Amino acid sequence: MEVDINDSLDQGKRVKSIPARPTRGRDIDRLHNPRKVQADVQGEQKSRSAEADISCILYTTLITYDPYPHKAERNLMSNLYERLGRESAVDKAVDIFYRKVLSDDRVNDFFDDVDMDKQAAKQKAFLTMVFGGPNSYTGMDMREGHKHLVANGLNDSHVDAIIELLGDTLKELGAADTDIGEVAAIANSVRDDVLNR
Amino acid sequence: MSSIIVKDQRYPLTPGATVLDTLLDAGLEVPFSCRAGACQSCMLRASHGTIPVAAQQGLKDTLKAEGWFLACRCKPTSELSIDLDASATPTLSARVVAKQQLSPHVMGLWLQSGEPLKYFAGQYLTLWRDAATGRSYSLASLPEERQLELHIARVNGGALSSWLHDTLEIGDSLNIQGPMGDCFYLPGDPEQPLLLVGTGTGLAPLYGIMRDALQQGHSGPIHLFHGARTADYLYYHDKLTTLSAQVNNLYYYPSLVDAGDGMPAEGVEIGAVDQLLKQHLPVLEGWRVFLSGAPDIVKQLRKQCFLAGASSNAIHTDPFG
Repeated sequence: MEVDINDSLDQGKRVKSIPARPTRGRDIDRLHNPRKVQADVQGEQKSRSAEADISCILYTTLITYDPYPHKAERNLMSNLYERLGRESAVDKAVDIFYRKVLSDDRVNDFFDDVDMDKQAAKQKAFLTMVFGGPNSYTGMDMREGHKHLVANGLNDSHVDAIIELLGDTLKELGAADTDIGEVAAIANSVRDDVLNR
Repeated sequence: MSSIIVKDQRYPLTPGATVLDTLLDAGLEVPFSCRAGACQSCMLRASHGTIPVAAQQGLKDTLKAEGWFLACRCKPTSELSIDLDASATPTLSARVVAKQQLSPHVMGLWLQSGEPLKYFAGQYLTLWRDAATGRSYSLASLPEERQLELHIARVNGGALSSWLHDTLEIGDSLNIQGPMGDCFYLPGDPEQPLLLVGTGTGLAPLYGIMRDALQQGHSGPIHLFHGARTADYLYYHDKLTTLSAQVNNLYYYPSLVDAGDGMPAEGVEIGAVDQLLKQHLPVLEGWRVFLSGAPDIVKQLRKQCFLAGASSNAIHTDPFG
């Protein structure tokens, strides 16, 4: 690692935004805000700037996709979420999964410039989605969100690796093979959109 | 009926409605995305009132302590006041009570505000030279100390640091704004090992956090790494050496990137701080971590600590640059 300590030593150099509102996960909403879209259509709400910070994550838009728009399927999936242990399962899984992703040379290049704080929230949202948990996403911009990653070489092998790491994570948490299969199926259902095909 | 108050305006809550729905229905702009408490897009800060436990689930303890909550999960049962526009961070006037060169390049600055500032050790302030020129500095003091201690490195051509070093005099007043930041110690789990790593004047918040933890009776080991490029920036070396000799559970690791011309002081290691950290503490499972300094280093250290086993919720950072 290059240690460039004293060049930026002075705290006075930092430009901290005022107010210092934490910015975790806020870029997600800029991308996909179903309500905003609706409001815009109705012309009732000022449009908000879409400052899409999508430079770094594989999942920003993955999480916004609802592969089970039909109620019956959703109910079925929420059973999976229940079986896995709901939010507490997601909380347990998120560190394990993210650690695996960062340690895996097949995929960690895509996460090199990522803000870890924002990323942790995104990982959590992603896991909630693939665990069949509640989400009200209707956005379809997954293609848009992954375009730059596809341009940088994102392909099937990376999606495979992510699904594999997801399975390893669940195994570590003691999930049943059938549940792991279901999670993989949800993740798989967005593959083509992620890869822009 | 319970209600939400935003900027003196009252919004009644229908039973079972979330803060997010209520504010959006009222036409206010609130960022949001997943509506499921996962993405944290809709995080807001309450200034008064009781926040339901469910609305803070999954948030970092430090954010909880500052009143942040997830609007999509928040169904208040009593009145709740919210800062939608957090630029409400108050500005107040402070007087310079002391200035002291801690080393040729680093100055200690002690300020006293009119009314005592409520803050957590390790948070930061913005100092304003005039309405347009402000820079943020971390607090090295403890709230009960009354005087606000800041460490100011001199930066060539730095608009604020030169002014603070050369022009500002004892007795002068300036505007300060804050506190801000979520890198601080909270009681609970007093036996948990703590790791604090800072570079340069990134020591400032850690010096506050470390003393705060001790003051609050933290009994677990506290490991403080201070990395610098030149000995000039190990400006609290004597102080910390003395303190770590007096306090059983405090361990101090000063380091320099390279030895340079002279012999390093006793106890000072040579090497990059991340490498030294790896050698001394390769496994950090169950640790609480505080990192402060240049953003690149903080980012690198954060990843390293996470991969060494620290939970992402247990890593607190104060990057500046």
